[in-house]
Amino acid sequence: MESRPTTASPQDAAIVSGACLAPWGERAANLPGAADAELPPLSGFVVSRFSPLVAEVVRRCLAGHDVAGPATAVVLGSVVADATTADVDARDLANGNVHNPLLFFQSVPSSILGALAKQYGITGPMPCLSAREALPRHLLDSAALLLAEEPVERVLVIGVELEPQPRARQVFAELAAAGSAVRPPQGDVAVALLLARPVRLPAPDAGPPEFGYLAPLAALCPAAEFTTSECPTTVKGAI
Amino acid sequence: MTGDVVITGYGVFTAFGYGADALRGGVFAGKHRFGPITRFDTTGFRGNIAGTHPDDPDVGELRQYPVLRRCAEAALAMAGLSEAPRAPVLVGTQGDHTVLSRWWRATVADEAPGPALPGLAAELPHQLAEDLGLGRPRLAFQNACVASADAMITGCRLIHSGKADVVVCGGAYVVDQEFFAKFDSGRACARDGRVRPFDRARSGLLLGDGAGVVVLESARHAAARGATPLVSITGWGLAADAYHVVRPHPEGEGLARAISMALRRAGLAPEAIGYVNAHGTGTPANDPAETAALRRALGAHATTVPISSTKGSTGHMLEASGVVELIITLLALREGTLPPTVGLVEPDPRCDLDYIPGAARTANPRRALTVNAGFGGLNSALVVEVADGE
Repeated sequence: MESRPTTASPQDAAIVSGACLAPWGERAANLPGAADAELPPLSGFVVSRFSPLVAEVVRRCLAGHDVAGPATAVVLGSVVADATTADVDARDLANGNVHNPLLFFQSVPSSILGALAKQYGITGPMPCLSAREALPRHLLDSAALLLAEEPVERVLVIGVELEPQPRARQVFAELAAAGSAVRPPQGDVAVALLLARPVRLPAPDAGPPEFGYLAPLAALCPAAEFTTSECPTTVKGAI
Repeated sequence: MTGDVVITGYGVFTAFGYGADALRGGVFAGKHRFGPITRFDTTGFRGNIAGTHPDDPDVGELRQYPVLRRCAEAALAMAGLSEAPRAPVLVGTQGDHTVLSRWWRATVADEAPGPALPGLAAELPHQLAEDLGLGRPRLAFQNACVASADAMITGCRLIHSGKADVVVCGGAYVVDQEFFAKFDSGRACARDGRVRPFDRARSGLLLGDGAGVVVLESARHAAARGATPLVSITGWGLAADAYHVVRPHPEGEGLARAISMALRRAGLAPEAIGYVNAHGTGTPANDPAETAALRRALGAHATTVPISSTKGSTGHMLEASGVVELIITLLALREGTLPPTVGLVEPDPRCDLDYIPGAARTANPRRALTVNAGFGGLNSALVVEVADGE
């Protein structure tokens, strides 16, 4: 798992801090420097890595920053969102079982934002977005729109995508067949950027390719090199 | 700023059917459509009641996309826009979970699962834009029950900042087995098969079919092409509770902030508001928290302004709630009739505001608030005004 610390780069001082997480699941076993370390558990969230991944990348991004109050907005983006929770629920139902009530709360992506809002005291707007094209650019555009409006002074932009399982793999394959340039990640990935001013997205081929369509967003993380060998985390799979 | 975002067209769908007449005959007439679900098998669930519209024999089963598209076509036609090739498309939806259910049923049965992409939330705005020749961005808003309100607020921001002249905003939810199962397992549904907002006997929400689309337009753009604004959106606010993953702040802090923000943006004192369309889910936690929020934000005016929750009539339309309830508010302003809170008989002492029990009320407010709240402790408020010149 790689974390990018918080020093603003000369490239763009609008980025207050940033963090990227690339836990590779079982793939980590073959990576140099791989180590056993699961994502920290997140109270109230079970089965899926989606919300713990968001919580951890935000923890690393916000370390040392006071973001409490209405001046902080959060924009969360994901193409497929929490496919694990959705798939577990749907599979249970298909097998004739009732839903796990523990999954009720986490079935929408705004729930993890509620947990983060409480933890960090954030009370600004919190949109959760999905798009089938150019999601990183839309996240930054949304951040710029929020920054233009009082009382918002900073926006926490979060991009997250789980390693696609069979149904999500099919979604990405169907997107590709329909001509979409959206590439799936090669593992569970998350990027968090704390912005004080609007920033532009780098070229589509910027950033580590393992991050799939989130690579250009990951490329904005300040002050760290990006090699998969520095991503030593394994995480439990649910499906 | 005041008055520079207007609505020039809308399309709406609820369990009562399509269009304003269906709302007049249902929501404004104090009726509901709650009954046993026949759309899918409810065996094994605690409950089996929702507010659903019968399947249309001409088009078959109700699904999110065709319903949303029909609303969008109606909205664009009302706005007099034969084309809007640069209009962003912003839709509140979690995606069509019927696709998800069928994919897994087929997989479990070892059959070919069929396409998965139509279930993606982002597919709805994309397909709508493709089919109707609309523009970009094409975004799905997934922040639960404030999703379509957030979509509209984002549309207002795009227009206010000059980044767009026309924005197509909406939301859709059609009662499906997946989400019914989630709410049933979470024990969120009313035990007695009725939604009773602000009532002492309320025991929970019931899901309901709903979809809506509004055409947001800059006042200047509408005037330039001779379009008649239906209402203006002059204020908006979004705020988080920072209190709990899903439960609302008991004192309504986040919702009160969202309302105050919307009033401030509109340049209005609370006394200028003549009607409030409340979130009013009929759950034990929401209704007193919302009452506290209204008191906190509106002060003494909270005790005199007429307020109603229309979820006692429509059911909870989840991501579509914001846009459908804004359209209901629009009708209330334009027609001088305030919809009642269906299901409210004996008010909870903690819900002691004028929640319009019984029947619709005649009034002629010029300005109204519509508010929503959702999982994550997220809250939204929009100020709607009779358009200038009316």
